[in-house]
Amino acid sequence: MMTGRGGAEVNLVLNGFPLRVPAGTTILEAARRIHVTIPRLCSLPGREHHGSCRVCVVEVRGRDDLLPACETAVTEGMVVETNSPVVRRTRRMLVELLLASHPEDCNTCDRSRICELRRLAHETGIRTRYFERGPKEGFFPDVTHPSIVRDPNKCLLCGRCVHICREVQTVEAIGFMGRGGQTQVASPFAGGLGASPCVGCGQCVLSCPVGALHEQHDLDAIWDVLADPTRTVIAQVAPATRVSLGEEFDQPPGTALTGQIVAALRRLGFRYVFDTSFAADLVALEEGHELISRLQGGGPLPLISSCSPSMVKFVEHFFPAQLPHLSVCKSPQQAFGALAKTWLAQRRSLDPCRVVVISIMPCTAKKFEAARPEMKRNGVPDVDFVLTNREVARLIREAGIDFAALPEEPFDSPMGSASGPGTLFGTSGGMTEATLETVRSLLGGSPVGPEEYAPLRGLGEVKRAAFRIGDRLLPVAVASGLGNARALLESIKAGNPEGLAFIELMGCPGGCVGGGGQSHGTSFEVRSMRSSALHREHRGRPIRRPADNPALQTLYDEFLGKPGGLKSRDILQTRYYPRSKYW
Amino acid sequence: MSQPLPRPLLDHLSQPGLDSWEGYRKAGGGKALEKALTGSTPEGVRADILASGLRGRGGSAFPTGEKLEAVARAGGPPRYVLMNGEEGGPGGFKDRYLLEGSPFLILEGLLLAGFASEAGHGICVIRRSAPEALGRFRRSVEQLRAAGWLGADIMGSGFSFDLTVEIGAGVFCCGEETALLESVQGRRGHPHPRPPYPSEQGFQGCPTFVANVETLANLPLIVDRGPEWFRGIGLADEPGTRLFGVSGHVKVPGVYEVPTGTPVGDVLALAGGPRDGERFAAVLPGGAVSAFLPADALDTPLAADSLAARGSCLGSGAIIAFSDRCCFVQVAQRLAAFFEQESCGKCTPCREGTKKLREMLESVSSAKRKNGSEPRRGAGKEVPPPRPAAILPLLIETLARTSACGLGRAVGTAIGSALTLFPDEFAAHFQRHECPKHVCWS
Repeated sequence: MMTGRGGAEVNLVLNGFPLRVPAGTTILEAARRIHVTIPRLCSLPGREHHGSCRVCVVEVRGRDDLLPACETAVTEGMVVETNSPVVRRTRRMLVELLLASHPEDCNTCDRSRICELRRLAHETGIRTRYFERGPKEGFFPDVTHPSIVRDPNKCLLCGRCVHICREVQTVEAIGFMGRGGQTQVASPFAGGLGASPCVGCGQCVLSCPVGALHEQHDLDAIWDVLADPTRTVIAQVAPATRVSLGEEFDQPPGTALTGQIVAALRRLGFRYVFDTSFAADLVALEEGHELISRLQGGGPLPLISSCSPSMVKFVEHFFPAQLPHLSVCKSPQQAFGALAKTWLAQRRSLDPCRVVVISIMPCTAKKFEAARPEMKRNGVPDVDFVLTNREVARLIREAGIDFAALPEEPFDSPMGSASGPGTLFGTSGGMTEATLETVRSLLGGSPVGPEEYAPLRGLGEVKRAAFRIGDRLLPVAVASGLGNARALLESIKAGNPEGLAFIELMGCPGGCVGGGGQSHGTSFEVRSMRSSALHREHRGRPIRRPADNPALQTLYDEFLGKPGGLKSRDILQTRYYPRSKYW
Repeated sequence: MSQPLPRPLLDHLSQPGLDSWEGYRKAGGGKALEKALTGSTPEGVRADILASGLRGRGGSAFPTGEKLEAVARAGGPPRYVLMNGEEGGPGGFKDRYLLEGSPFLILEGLLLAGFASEAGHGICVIRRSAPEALGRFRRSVEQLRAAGWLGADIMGSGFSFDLTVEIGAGVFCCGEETALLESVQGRRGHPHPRPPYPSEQGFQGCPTFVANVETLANLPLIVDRGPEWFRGIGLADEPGTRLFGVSGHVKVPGVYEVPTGTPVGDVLALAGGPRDGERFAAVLPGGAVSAFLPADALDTPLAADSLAARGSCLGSGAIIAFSDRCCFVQVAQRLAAFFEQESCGKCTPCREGTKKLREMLESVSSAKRKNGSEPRRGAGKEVPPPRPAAILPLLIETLARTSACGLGRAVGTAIGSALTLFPDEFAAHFQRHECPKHVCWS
């Protein structure tokens, strides 16, 4: 993983095996070459290590102390033992110490299925306990944020979440506070996440080894509405969910299980199951119009897509002066909810107040978005509940549904059909592809092959390309992860020297395939597999352009009139507010 | 002791009027800086300090001359001088004594260090819990500035130097130089792995000369009286005198100055010896981070190698004496409680290990009763598993071998040595819940 300086290599002996690796390789990586996995807790693959848990310590000949394998680079002639008696007994003691102050509520914990501490206890051979459990005192769960719950009692202080929040997302909503046994991860001035600039992206939840961080749970309320015969419960399924929900049921990442998800939701009691990609097509059409009108002088450029709620909150907190750049169009989730309670309710003669829209999203920030006061019409929220992948999997398991054995079922009509680009909203670059395809069709260009958009694909940090549409050259940029988004926003702040016309920003690394509501164990490889699966879906779709979606045409004919028209403005557009960094 | 021991620092401190600039000048202060600025060069001062053989008094005993050399060579400007007055260990008060007694001496040392390392700015950290020292130091800085000895072009020599005084948080782990640097830059006081050393990348990434208060106090004396004078005192490889804050079960606790290599027992004798009716049982020669020296080893010289041979260390000049009346399980428990409180909380062994260490020792000694809570187990009964006697050595080993910094590694030193020195006392507590000395509740 780490490249050597000038290609130099060093020799070492690891557990008796002679080994030659590039200089600069850590002991942890060197061990992997002889197929030895050193137990570890605080380090995140591919990130600079924190070195705080000390679980990965190894013995190096000639040293009295043990060295952390994650941050120690190999040197010439090093002799390393990863399982010597002293390593084994101190490693066990370290895990015992972590267990000693950790609550023993594994049976009811959010992470009861996959907990890294439980695995570690197993791997270090702990069968009996050294210490009586001494719980932490004076720590209380932080439930102030609409998306994320933090329980400091379960926290191991490994620092992964702090690292992700600070270095990857550059939000710094959490940091260490206090010292010694009173150390805890806290929001600024311990004011609670709700009062912090936390954008709810949920990357901290994905990075947490235990159940100290999880999403706000909505499951009980959902069981209630599902059991209520007077309510019409509608589900919308996000594009990225269909290629990742299988992971919760032991399928490999990137297994497309759209039909099974629809079937499972029907069996849970959802009256209609629709596709968020339909709303994605709609958003692509509306944003395409907005882009054209801005290009013709109707607003500031570049236009920034507003599909990612964590990114929107990020701009509100950190770049309030750049808010006019954000597209006024709602995100696909909210656009869907708004249509379900207007157009669909009208079509099916339903009372909007008795319609419940539940989103199945790989996202924690959508919970916050759904609760925004702007996202209500006449006091009725567009979206009532948002379920993360993890929650919907719990729902399915709780109902005893054999997910893998389900038959494939199609989405309901009319909000169940989507174009190829519409499904790509779930991965970084897809939203741009859909918008540009729309602009091309509106300006009378013919569709282009997917190879045209190759520079926008993949999980690169910031992707740039310029597209010739009609007589115009449109420079666009795509960034995922808020650290990368920050870099682009800074460049807009500096006067947009690149002359960008359109920017797609996604809050999570890789876009929704890396969303904070995805399954635990989301790594770069897993994100790539999910992203490739979405591209396969895209290729398999007969509708090539959002504007060609027949259901969308019906929607405009019956209800909305024209893109960017009065009705669209009323139903599909929103506004943003500057927020302070601290309360 | 036939001949009085040399004690240049205390002799200086015994002069009157040191808290004003005039008084300090009258007492002969300021000559060293005048000599350096008018008659010498930074290279010359560095050569003097290197020749004197002065080693850092903060604990690691690194040659001061070499450190100055490293800072001057490391690039810059800017370069910085950082005074480490974050003296936070139990029994550590000799730096505070110096700061209160002769702030101008320290400031002169700081200016000399700045001149020698070609730095332009000094940062003085004084711990929060020494308000008197802080106040005097601040007043002295103002007087020095008024006298024209701080600021641009001091004494027309072209040497410009200014300084800021910072209040340290009074945290033990911030006494470590990398953690102190983090702390003065407004970040969490977490230690960093070295290299890079502060002399290469210190304050704001610039070369920084970090020195203990006592080290700085020695600089004016060396420059004024010459390196040969300094070399003539104490041991050949670590010459000079050292200040020791002697506390614990001695008749006259206080700050004493002795040449390096003086036996521990002699310092304790200076402090009046044991209290009436008591004998020394053990001594911590270097504060909480050192290992206990038993009473029969009081002839050990206060020098790095001879203490290291006994498994202990010189630390930062805090000698704590323990009489035969005290219960060493209780002492160990108090030490564990100190480290538990002072742990920065970053790494598992130190954060959780110190807590368990304290709890385990507390469960067999008296501290619980002081809080008014009921003892958990009856006297004379066997302590049920997990047995502290079996877990304690393993816990101490884990702390010593896996902690991220010196604080965690040092936690077990004193406690571990107490376990080896007084096995019967610990065994009685662990196995029968009895205190043989009837000191702690059992």
